[in-house]
Amino acid sequence: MKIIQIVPTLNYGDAIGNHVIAIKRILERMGYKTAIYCYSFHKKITEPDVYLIPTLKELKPSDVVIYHMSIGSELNRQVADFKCRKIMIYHNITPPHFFEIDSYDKVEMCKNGLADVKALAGKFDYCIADSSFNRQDLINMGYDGDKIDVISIMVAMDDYKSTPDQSVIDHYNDGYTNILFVGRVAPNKKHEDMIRTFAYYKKNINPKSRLILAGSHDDQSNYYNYLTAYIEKLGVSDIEFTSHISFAGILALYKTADVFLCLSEHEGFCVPLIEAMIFDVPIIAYSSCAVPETMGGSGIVVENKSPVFLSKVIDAVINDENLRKRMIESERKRLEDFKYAPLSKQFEEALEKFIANVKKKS
Amino acid sequence: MDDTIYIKNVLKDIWTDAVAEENKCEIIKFDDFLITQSHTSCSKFNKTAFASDLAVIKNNSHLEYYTKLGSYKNKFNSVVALIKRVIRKSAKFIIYPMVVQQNSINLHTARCFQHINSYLNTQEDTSQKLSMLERSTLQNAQNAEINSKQLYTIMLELDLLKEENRKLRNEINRIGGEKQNEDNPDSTNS
Repeated sequence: MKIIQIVPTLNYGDAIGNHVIAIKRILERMGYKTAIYCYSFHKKITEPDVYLIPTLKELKPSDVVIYHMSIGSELNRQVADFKCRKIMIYHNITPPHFFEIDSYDKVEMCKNGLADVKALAGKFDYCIADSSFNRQDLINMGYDGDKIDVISIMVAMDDYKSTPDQSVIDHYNDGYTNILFVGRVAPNKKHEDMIRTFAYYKKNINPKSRLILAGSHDDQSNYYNYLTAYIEKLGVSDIEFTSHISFAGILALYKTADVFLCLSEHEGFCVPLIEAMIFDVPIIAYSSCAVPETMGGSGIVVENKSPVFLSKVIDAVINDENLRKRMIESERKRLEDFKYAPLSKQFEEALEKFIANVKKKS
Repeated sequence: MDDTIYIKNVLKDIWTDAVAEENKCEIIKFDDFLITQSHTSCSKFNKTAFASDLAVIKNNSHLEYYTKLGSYKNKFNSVVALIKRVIRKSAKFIIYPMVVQQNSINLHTARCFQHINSYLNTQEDTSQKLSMLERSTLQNAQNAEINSKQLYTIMLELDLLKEENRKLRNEINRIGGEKQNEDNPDSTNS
């Protein structure tokens, strides 16, 4: 019996890519023969046993496929027809309406993804959701709640102990207050709300501040160009889009950040929150989807996006030492829940139970 | 006090403050800003992408009229021959005229884009020439400004020298007058 993982695209350094590789290592440690199959993978990925889908040989009824569902892809329905035991790990799919401002292709991709998830209800033997929010999402789409467990994304915390890029640290350690957000430039992340809040904060509270928006973006995308035009219209300076940045660069950004601001309106888990916790950066996050669950009572979760209110909260976090200390303390406690060992054990137990209970396909 | 309660209390105080100042926020909302953008696409023109799309259009503008039918088993010869005949007849009277028409559209579309490309190249040349001219005019204006500043400084220095000269002349006259008095004391007394 072998257990293979399938993901449409295996990206380097992103949350799902890291999670897939973490699961592969757990499977190897458990003694299973395993591999990752995808349509394409990033050239920087050095993990062995990563193959392209066309090389996938016929599976036996006793084999197990773990499929990572996160986007519209022809693979979604193909995998459901495999004659073997199947597990879906649901990372959530962004609702299409967010992308109406950006690209019709992306709207279609998300629509197809959601249609696939709905159509595949009952086709997988077992599901794992990254968060309770994702689990509820599946139940709302007709999945059997008894066959869904919640296991958080595994964040390789040891990787964050590596050396940050000193040149980035030197660049941002210049006496300015650094407000950081990490995540690709996408309409659901609501970069415009961060820009508006920062414009008020810089003008009325702290002129010596900057907003760093780290994450990949497409220069040609409508959303990105609307954002840059909006910044121009507001006449606000010191907003930096870093585009794709090296891992050492990301570490350096977290090291120099005074506060992590997340006003996203759709997250299935939100790994950058965990990263900010690792670096003791106080977090201010907007309460939406899985964000309050990931925060788990730590940091500050707000229900309102008023720039005046948020600017004052940022100011308090930066200047009120007691508040800052308590926030960091609460984040450290929360981080304990995402340690690799208990999550890995939870996954192992769930998998063993699945293999014992779900018999091979006839 | 528990961290969560403390943080909640701080937020409550901040919220009370913020509500009082809410009307001070005059920053335009993103949605309102978008309305001013007339819902037009905001993506910038990408010459490389345009050239690559144009190449694809040009290379694929001509559709082949005839596609050879693939192999088949000998035992079905008669059936296949009949089907092929039907296909050939349909192709001749239905598909062939459509392909001709489509090829004509494709050809004109490709040519039209080629014209746009040439137009853009011309615009680019003109724009480059204009920007060079703008730079040289700016440089000339800067030089003229520098010259006029230098001229003004020289004029000031000249005025100062004239004033100095006038003072020196007065001094010389005064010393000359005193010397004359010393040489002819009587003339003064008388």
